[in-house]
Amino acid sequence: MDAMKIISRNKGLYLALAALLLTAVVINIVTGVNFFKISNLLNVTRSFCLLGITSIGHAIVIISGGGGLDLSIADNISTANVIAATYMNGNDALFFPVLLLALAFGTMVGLINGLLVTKRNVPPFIATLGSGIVLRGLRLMWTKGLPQGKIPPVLIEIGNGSTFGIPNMFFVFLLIAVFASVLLNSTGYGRRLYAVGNNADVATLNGIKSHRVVLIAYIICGVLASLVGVLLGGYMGMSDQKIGEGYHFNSLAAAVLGGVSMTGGKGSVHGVVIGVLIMLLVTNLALLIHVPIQSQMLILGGLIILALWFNERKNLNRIWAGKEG
Amino acid sequence: MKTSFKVAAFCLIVLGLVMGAALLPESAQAKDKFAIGWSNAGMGDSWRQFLVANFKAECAKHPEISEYFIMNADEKPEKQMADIESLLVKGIDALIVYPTVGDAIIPAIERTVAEGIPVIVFGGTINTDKMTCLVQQDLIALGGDGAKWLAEKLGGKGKIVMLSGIAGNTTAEDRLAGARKVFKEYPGIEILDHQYCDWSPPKARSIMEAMIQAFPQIDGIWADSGLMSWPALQALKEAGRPLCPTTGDQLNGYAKFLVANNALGYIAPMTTKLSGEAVKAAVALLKGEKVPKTLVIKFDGIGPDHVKDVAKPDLSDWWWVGDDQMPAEFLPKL
Repeated sequence: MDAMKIISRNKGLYLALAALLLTAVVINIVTGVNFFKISNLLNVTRSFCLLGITSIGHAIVIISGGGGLDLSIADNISTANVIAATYMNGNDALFFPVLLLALAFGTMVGLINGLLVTKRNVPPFIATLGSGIVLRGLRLMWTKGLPQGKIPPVLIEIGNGSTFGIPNMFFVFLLIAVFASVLLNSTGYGRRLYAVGNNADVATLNGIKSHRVVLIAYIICGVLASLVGVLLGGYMGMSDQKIGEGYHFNSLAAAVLGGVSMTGGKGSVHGVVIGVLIMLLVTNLALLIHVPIQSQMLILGGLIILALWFNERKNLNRIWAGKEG
Repeated sequence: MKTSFKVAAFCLIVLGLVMGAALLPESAQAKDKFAIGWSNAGMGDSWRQFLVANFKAECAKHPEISEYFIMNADEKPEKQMADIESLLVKGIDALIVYPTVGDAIIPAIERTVAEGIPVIVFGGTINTDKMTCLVQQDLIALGGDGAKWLAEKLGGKGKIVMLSGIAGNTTAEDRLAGARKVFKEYPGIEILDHQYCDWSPPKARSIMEAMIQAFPQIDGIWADSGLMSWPALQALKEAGRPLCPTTGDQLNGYAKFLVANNALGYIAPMTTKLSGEAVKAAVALLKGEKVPKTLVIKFDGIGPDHVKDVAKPDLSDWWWVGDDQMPAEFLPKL
């Protein structure tokens, strides 16, 4: 019954997913290009894991409300990627300690973002945009444009290898998705997050430490972004100043497509996962049938606007009803 | 929490000040006659670092350059306009510009020329004839060089894919146009697909992975940069497909991959030596020598037989091979 409830609450998403899968079948019949080929699914799965982890973190920040947003994600990812390559330097023995260092870095980024938003009331857009720019500058000063180091074999195996035919990254993603889902649905923190996202003032009056809830959301997002930076190093086998480019927007888009409300208090890990799937399906199908990248942007942009409209129309109706009342 | 916030805020302010100091124009004093200002579009990657290194190395060869200033516009046209104004206030004798968005800075360029200061533009085109000199690499020919090598390598027959940088960007579109023009001369070459990859290795990798799924046979890859051909080759290797001949530029990571995997590749360099050529043009103009309005510099490509000579296995993947022919003191620091 719970499963039926989940499907019914997200029927729009499931319909969109089903429509895309049907499109994939039709494309296969008409052109012979097979989205469902194992090798293609493996490629899409790796991209899905990276975007999925980022989107889960971003969704938690958005759910916390108050215009929650994290525009520093891209630079967080890129910096963590450079940290990984520089300090691991091709040495498997250094993988775990440097992973912890990268995650500590992500924690610090999230902490700074969270403190700016909660203690200084800096709008999240400004706070995270600013911290992202600072990160970029620091990274450039440190590397002088020339990232050093090497990705070690164990990380390349995590990024590119498979176990029992399943990409290793998928196990990392699964762990995080399950953890996040349990956190949001079955813990006190999750209940408080939704309460704060719905109305921070009421939540505070009810004894919830709203600032702490929001701060933790930004820390989680920061940690997950830095993890993705490390994993990207394994996937690409390289470090790159701009490897995280686009992830802040794509993760936001996936969250919105997955039903996370930009006004806060609404959204689920499950919805975000479907949002990521929809985005990657659209992109991959478009590439398979040689649709130029500009047209892909049109399609994705259109989907996001539609998703925003569907997600927010109830809120807008409530706001307009209040104004007319 | 209040204390920790204060500490965090203090750290941010200090970092911001250090950043601001780092963004101040660089200058170098010597004893001679001309001051040169360079308004640079941005410094966000290793290619730009080499651009600066080549600029400084060339300046050092000219004792008549008393000082130089470099301003970084961080890819913002409005900042570049302000940077040019700042350089004029410093009393420069010549202005070198690497444009952000060419046409957006025309007013600043024309004002500078009106003040009698020669303006040398490189790395992009600007739609005004008021600039003094345009130093450029023939990007159409550059794209065509790589295409010709690839077509000849395939014996005039084969299925290829094309990967470009940013859609609409002059350096991407010119090279693409040059390549398409050449491929038209080889009717046996079939272009399966062309995609813009934004010079992003992860994007190039996922686009190539999709192309591998869509096309059972890919005989060659034309790319305007190693930033795309390198991850494209990685995708082919991951998929267990043969490493077909590719084109790219002088990115060390691409060169290293070719050598390590015994793959055929052609390096068509989008060279950072243009900044040095711009300095030479500026000095010549200041000395009253005749300099053509448009100075086209040709840099030779590097075929597969010589890739191993230029690849630097011990250096960063982000080194730009062939652009490092300068005294060690000017090279970007590792």
